[in-house]
Amino acid sequence: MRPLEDLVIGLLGELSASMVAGEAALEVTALDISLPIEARIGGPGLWVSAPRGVMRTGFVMPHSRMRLRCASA
Amino acid sequence: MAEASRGSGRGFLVEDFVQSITAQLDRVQDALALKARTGRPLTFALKDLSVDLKVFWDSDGSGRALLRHAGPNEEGASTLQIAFTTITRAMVEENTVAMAQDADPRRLEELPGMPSLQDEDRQRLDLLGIRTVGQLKQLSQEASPKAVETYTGIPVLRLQAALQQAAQPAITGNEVVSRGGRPYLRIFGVNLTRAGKPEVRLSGEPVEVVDSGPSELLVRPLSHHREGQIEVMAGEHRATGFYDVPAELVAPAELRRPTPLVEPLAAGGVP
Repeated sequence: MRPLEDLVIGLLGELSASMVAGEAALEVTALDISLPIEARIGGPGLWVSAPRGVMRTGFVMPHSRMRLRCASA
Repeated sequence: MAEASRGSGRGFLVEDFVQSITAQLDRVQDALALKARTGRPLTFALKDLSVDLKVFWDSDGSGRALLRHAGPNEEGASTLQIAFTTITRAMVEENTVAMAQDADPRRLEELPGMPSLQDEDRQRLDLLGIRTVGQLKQLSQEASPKAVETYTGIPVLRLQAALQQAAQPAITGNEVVSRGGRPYLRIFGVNLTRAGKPEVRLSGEPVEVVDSGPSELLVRPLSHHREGQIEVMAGEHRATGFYDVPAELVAPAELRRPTPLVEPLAAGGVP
């Protein structure tokens, strides 16, 4: 798991890079993302990761959900 | 982030959690703004973020709410929906207490003398958002002690005793400032002019009060004053503190000039 800000910055960074890879005919002005996450409240703040699935032990973390609304800057 | 052990997991105070996650989102905005400044052709600004967390609620001995994330295979968790949105500085200032305007920013437990308010009294006031002596005074001006007792459950006598303590002068700090090459002492406090212009003594000697206000005094120390006790006499009440004037501020300018370790070169340079 990693801090919430790392996941958000990484996610937006990769999306931004992929959208300008070719000749863009359309402009993206807004972006809504909704994804399941594994979350842990810890010090300091929220630690998250993409769902890792059921581990070999059979213990599964309950999935939370994160929604992001972004606008182009 | 403060945490409390309870049962099989660790609970975190809700207010600490919200503050921590707010700081995390501030870091996101800072990083995205940095990317935009580096000239990337397309980047995004975060407008809203919401998370649904599976949590268990608990409370500590003081009645404060604690939050714990559900562990593996734990059933019956609540879903906490928490949403953050971007707001401007003006909106923040509009919706928060103006700390700079608090006439008496001391915490309630800093009231001098015998503690008139008990711990549970302070916790009740804290739940109402009253954390400083200034806020308590304001509450007493806007409502009678009986009305405050009805709403908070704090007995009138304890409340009146606290307000009497709050009205006494107190020194909260001081600093040495330089004016025209000589040191002055600025004294910070509360109720310093409750009986008009106060008399101030440094190390037991009266000194000139150059400027005075309820929360700030400016006095002129005598040339031999270096450190000692501050006394502010406001009517029949007396407040005390301690001052320390740094030597470099009291020494004449000639003495402050550093002595050169080597003689300066004579005109004409090295022979």
